[in-house]
Amino acid sequence: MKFLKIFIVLSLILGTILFFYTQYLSHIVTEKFSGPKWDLPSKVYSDALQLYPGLDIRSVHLKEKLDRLGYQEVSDPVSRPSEYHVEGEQWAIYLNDFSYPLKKFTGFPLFLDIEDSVITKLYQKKDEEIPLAELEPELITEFFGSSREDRQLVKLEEVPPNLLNAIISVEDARFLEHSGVDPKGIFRAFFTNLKNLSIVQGGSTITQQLVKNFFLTQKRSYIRKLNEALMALIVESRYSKDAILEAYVNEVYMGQRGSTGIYGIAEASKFYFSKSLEKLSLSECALLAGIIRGPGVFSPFKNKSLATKRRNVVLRKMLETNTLIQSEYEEALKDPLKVKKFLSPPNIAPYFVDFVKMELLESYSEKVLNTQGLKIFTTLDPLLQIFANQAMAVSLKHLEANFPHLKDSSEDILQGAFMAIQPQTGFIRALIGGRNYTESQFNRITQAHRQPGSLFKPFVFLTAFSIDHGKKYKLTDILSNEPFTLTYDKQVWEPTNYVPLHPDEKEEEKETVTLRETLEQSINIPTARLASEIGFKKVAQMIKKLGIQSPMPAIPSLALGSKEVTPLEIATAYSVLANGGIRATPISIKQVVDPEGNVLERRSIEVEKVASEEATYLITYALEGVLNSGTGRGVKLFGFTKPAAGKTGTTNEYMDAWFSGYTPDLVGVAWVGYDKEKKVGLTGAQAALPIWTRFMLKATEYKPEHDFLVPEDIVFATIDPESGELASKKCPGSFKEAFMKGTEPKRVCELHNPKKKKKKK
Amino acid sequence: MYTIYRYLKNIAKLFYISPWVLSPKDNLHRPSSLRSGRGGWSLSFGATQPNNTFIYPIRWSSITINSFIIIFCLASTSCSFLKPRPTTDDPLLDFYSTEPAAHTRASLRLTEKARTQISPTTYTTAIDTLNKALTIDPQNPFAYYFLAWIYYEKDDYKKSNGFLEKAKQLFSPFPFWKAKSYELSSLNWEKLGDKKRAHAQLKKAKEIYPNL
Repeated sequence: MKFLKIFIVLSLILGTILFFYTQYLSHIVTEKFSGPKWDLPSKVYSDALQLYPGLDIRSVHLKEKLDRLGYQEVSDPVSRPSEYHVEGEQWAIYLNDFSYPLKKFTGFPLFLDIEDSVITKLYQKKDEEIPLAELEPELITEFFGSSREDRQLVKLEEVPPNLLNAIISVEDARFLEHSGVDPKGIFRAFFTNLKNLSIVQGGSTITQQLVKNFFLTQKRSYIRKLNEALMALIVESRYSKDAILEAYVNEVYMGQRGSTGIYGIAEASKFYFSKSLEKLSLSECALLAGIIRGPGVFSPFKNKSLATKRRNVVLRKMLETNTLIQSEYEEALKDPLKVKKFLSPPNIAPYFVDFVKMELLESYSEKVLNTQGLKIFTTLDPLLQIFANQAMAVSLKHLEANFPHLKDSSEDILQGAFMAIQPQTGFIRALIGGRNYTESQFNRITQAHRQPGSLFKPFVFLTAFSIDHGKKYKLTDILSNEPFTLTYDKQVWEPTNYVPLHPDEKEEEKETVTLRETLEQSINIPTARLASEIGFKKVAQMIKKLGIQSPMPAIPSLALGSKEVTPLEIATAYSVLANGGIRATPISIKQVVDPEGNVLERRSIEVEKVASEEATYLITYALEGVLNSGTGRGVKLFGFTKPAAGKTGTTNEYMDAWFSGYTPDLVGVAWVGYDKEKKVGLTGAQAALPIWTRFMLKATEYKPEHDFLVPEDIVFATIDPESGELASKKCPGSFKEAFMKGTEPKRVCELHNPKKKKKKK
Repeated sequence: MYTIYRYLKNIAKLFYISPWVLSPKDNLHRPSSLRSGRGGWSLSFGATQPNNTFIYPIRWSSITINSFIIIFCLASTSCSFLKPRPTTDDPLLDFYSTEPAAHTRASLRLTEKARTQISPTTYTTAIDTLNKALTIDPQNPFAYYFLAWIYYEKDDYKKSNGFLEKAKQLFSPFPFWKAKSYELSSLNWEKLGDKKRAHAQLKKAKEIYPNL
């Protein structure tokens, strides 16, 4: 009786404890199941690539592009997405499925006829020619939360029955019969472990596995097993088998891509086969189901034969559970194991991604970005970014090799920044904010405010050419190069010309120079004189209109680039010169889309006319001269001969070296310097120009070449450089100059044509 | 003079020129200055003479070269009189007198596609397509024009004018379209309440293409 009492009391106590403990576990389960179950990382994509007849595949490095996208070259005709086959001059690319912002694209085999590297025909099937095809954007990076889990959510009805059957057969054949815990399985595992005197086997059901992954640790212990069993029972009592299975197929760990885990079968299907679930074959379903047991062991990327064996085991189980018939089983066994190429792309544009994130944070919280699975489509051109990375790395290495003083300090390494922008649209195509992202995340393109030096000179000239509809000044006008002082706001300012570091480099200075010479040779005194003539306020206003947002007080030294700006601002302003006076707002993000495909945000091209087309053309024409015979002639010496204009920039004390230049379709800005106040001791032509040129050589290779558009009101005349009048045959030298219509010289050079002079008299 | 008059009368009866025999059909809407290499005007003579017309016997030996020149001039005049005006519905590729570069052609195809997407429900799709067109060829004037058109329809007149500025620059070889850009710009300014500018833009449009 006494024992009975003790038993009842103990039972009551234990029962109460168990009740409250179950309630506690139940609360945990409900909380996790009712809310969003997973954090989905946001994905950042590059711009897509269009293929069309006439495109030179060397200009887009098609093979490398396909490699980066994870396409695999096969020797047989393509049979599945993510494969490509090259036979003579015909390419076949089985395009991947991709969810674009406004449409879901289903992959198909695309055939390309190529002649001399140029696409002559694109077609889907014979006689079904298509004018254009799009290669999906490249994944640049992902924004993760606390865990680096890559996952694509899927609904149960979207999972093919073969895959569900395979999973159930191999992981928990009695899933539909038990109530969360399978006593048979547990006893089997218990006795096996007892026999081996260690924990070697688990008898977990699918529900228990889900519970373990969701709520518990991976540690093998009997306490954890007890919790797992209790929670599994709770889950089964509260949720349907469908809900449990859906959670399981989304939760399960399926592999590893670099430091990122692949979770859920939908993501795994993309990862291993580059297919959406509905396109999986029976043998692929079996393989996926087989991987669940041990992605590290059975991954086909690691060991194909082991993966094949595992797949066959799953198929056997399916046959045993009658989810397959014999003929299907035999056929599936014959299927060769085909997986896509393993791809773990490095982030080629970390500074660009930071810039994108900075922009996104204005509209979305960090938590949303890290957990809501947004798709961010950007303007980045991966190929141009790779070229920029290469140009930066090679150029800085060469500089340090040729100028050892640049490596003197171990505290502050030589830094560089570069960006490329499409001037008409403002699309940022490449961006490098520093030399090494792992060492310094400071983005020198968007965050570093540096003096631009002579890069501002074209803006002074643009202001001059904008006065009186371009009738007041012309490139052949003469300016005095004599030193002068200017009193401004009770301060005396005396501009001086460039003084080379080595006295033997100093050239004799002319007393007077033309506007063209001033720009080409980047001479300070006449530029300052011109700015003073037209008014510093007007110069400041023009600079603001060009897109420089940093404060620009109307002071004399502004003309020579004394006020600090970011390279991004310089790129914006130079884009106006390249784009005929029209400013395009720089854009890095095209669209932001939620996981359901709804467009949350769309950023479209924004353009505004801020300067006259004719005035900007005169600047471009003069800046072409900078590359032909001025301070930027190194560009031609490097071998870049396509139509381009540019300007070097070197600041006081040689602290910053710049080069900003453009072709009709691409603007590039390069900066070299130190983060701390330290002399680089090199000019823009020496330090920054090589980066720009190396980049442009690659970026424009095999691309169609065209000249800058000449406005209707621009006329050309052949000029005698000495007199500035129309050249005749007798003039020893001549050059072609651009003029605003009506300002071109009318008289023939009298200096070299005395007879004509007489006749006129 | 009388001889010329007589021959003209005879030949006019013999070669009745009908506008319906101009071919191909799509070229009907194209000004001669913009016609493409593959199409263009083609005149067919004869076969449409009215019935019951007495045809004077022609003494071919007396037909002089001068009379042919006059006939040719008359025919040309009647053609230009009958010639329909170009419209913004014409195929864009036809506005290139020479074969456009491959990237321009691809960009134009996307622009054509975008043109079919311009409707209040699919403005965003059309903008996307035009953005793609500009990524391929940022010097494609038609893409800017249709972007301007969409923003005009979306009542964003300032933005529309921005695109038109670029279109005007790039449309130099295409007077009809350049004039259309000025015309649309005029509508934008009118909506923005600046009638003076609206008038100036329309005037410019007429200067560029009087038959607008």
